[in-house]
Amino acid sequence: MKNCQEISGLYEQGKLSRISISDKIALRSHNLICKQCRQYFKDSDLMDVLIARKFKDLGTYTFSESEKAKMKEELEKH
Amino acid sequence: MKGAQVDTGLLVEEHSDYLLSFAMSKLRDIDLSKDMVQDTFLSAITKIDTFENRSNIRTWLTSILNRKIIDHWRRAETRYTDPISSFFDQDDSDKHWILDKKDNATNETIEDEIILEETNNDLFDCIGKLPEKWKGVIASKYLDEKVSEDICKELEITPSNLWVIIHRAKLLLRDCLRKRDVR
Repeated sequence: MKNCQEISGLYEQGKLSRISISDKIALRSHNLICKQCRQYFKDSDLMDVLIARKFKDLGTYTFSESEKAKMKEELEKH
Repeated sequence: MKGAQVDTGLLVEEHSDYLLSFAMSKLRDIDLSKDMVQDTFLSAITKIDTFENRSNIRTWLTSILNRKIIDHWRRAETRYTDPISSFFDQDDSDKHWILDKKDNATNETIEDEIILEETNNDLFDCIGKLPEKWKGVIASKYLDEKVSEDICKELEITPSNLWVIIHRAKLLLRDCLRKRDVR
């Protein structure tokens, strides 16, 4: 029997690559009996969506005028 | 384009802010991002001979910056030695991992909590606390949407390193989000 940590790890592994039939069975059966892991699976899927979304709506960042001036000065030396 | 002359002032004026935003999207660290952009300009100036006018200069600068960011992540530690979460205490590995968190493990999903606060930056703050290498993994996966093989190759990690990092990162992020919610 795999413990919860192994099962939740296996779940992530399964998202990235193929896992064996016996691992799939282990996941499914564990899913039936373990509430915490069911929760982890949900949270994991949700986090995939949230992280991806968060990464995409980014603000813009700017250098201050003095930083730009300094950078130009630095570059002129080369 | 041998001996090409470039107006460095114009280069900085036109592209620095764009490059900074690009770096920030990946690094989530303003000082580091600024350094990286500056480095990028330095490299660009010294390698201007290799720039062919066929490509857009901004694309070319971005590719230099991107390489620098990947190098930064590659050099970073794969192992995480400063656990935020009690989760990684190897000593009590026979304990059910979720039991430790029973106090704040509610029946609600974190979904409800986060969707309500969608405008806040908790998630980014939490990502910002992850080790550098993990940030690299997360950004490559979710921002660039790279496939696993490419992430492994670029960051010099094995496929099993990859899923272990993603697994642990998600656990830490979940912890971090919950802690913020408890406050």
